[in-house]
Amino acid sequence: MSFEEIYQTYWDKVYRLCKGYVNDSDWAQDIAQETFLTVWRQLSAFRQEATIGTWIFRIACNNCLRQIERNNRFRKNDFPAQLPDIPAPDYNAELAYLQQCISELPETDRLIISMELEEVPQAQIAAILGLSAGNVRIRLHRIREKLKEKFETYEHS
Amino acid sequence: MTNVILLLTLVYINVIVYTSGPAMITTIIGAGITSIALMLYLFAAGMPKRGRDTAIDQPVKDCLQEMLQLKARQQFIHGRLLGLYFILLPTGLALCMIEYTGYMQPVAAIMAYTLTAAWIAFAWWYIRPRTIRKQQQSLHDVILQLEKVQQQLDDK
Repeated sequence: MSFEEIYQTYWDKVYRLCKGYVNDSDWAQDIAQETFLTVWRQLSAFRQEATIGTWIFRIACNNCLRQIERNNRFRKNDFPAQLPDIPAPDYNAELAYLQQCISELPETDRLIISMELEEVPQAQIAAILGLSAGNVRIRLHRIREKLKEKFETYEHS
Repeated sequence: MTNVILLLTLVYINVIVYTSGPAMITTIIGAGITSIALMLYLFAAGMPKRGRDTAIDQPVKDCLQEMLQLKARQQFIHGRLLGLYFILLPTGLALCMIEYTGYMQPVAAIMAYTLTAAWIAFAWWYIRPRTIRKQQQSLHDVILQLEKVQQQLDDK
């Protein structure tokens, strides 16, 4: 696969994975771009030890976790307070709530559920994270239970 | 900004010592030790905050492990370098002063030593712990968060 084909195929998935992790469009875009920069740099050295998708998602997940090193990246008190409010784009409130719930999960759960939502097979998620398939299955079950609870609370309110 | 000032200080000290043509070896040794101290601080300050991409395409568990090891190594080196800085700097200054206070009147020399000793004491007991704590704190916070994520992966 050429880099252009990889970019066309995986950009959206990687962006959504990153957005699921940071819940911020601009930040997600930065991480996704960093991911593809690494892919571009290391593509010639890729030895097919894993599938291309596994490889790319590993880079994306590791880049997401590297954001921990930049935990002071954006201090909200530096943001000027006088900017006018720009109305948020109109999109599904439930989807927004789902994204919010996902962003409140622990870091690894965010990555797992985001990949699950991208229809990445559980065996592949396991290979990406370095866990067993059984472990991923159990975690996914727990994550879905947590999200279900939150949605039930949301619907009742 | 601090690094620029330190770099200029380093250059300044060496220019002064070179142009003044010291008669005593203690001055040259002192200038050398002070320069080493300043370079240590600049090196510690300039240490890369992130590792290279060596493990970026490895399974997340392995990459996380490497990140933790790197941060722990950085924290260790950083702490040691800063500790050395705060020992070498006053030592270098004290050695430099031997010759120059030799040219002063006794009262002026005593005053110079007293002021320098007071500054060294202030730097040792106030500035040093604050600087080390502040610089280590951000590394420590990152390590804690990485350990938290590692714990998530280790939990069954």
